[in-house]
Amino acid sequence: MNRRNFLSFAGSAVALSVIPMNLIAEDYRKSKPSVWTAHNIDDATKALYNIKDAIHSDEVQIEVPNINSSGGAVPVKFGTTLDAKTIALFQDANPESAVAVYEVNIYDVKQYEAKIKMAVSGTIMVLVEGTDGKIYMNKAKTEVAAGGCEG
Amino acid sequence: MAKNKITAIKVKIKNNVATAKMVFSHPMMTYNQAKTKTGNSDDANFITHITGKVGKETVLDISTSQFFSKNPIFKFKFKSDTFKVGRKLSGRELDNGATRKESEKGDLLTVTAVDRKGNIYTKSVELAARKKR
Repeated sequence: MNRRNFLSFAGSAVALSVIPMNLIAEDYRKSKPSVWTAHNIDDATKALYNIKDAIHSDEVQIEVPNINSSGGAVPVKFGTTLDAKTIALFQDANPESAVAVYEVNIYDVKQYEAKIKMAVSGTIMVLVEGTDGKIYMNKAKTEVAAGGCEG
Repeated sequence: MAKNKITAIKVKIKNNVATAKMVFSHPMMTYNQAKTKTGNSDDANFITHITGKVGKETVLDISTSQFFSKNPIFKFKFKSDTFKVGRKLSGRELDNGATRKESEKGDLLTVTAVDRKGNIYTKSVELAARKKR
């Protein structure tokens, strides 16, 4: 092996060893701290995906009850059938709007359920970052009789 | 006060899809709640990251915030056809004191959670189904 070949081989080897680092699960609280301090959905979307308007899609599902007796635990069912990289859950009732960012892996069926807090009635929004680079969203409104953030 | 921990993880497997339900025991205290309780909003404590792994493969990865409910519950689904699913013993076998062979044991799903104070919680559960796939 001559020197030129060796150098190009070594270069590609270094590049290959770097790629898997990006595939390792990312902690969005450390990599994008501004998402978690944003006070409304627009700012949080901009901080996370660097865009303002997402495309409304029926392939993103969200299911919440219309009226909740307590805002301490609002059950949210959400998911998507799109090919996704990340799925984010936002709401506009609490002081900060980000709730969670799910990172999709190859085993994921992309159907989730969780219980979240809502201080007042508001909108819950699911954003899906597709593998095509576009951002899709769907939202649902829910009413809360007693808020769950006062403690 | 109850000790913070992962209380339970349950896994059901049907048609090569595993449905996992995790229950945490954690106050998930927001900044506002911490301020009214202790006067210092920096006392807020909530789970910030949850990872689920089967062997070396990641099946779940969430960055979370304080707005999950107190003692939160999470449900997620993943494809289990590439993992080894163990056989659960039937009630009759348990009554007869039967034990499983080593080959009938499944892979472990390990969930790791980190909270804002840096505490790490782990719990493992075996992937197992009563009927053979």
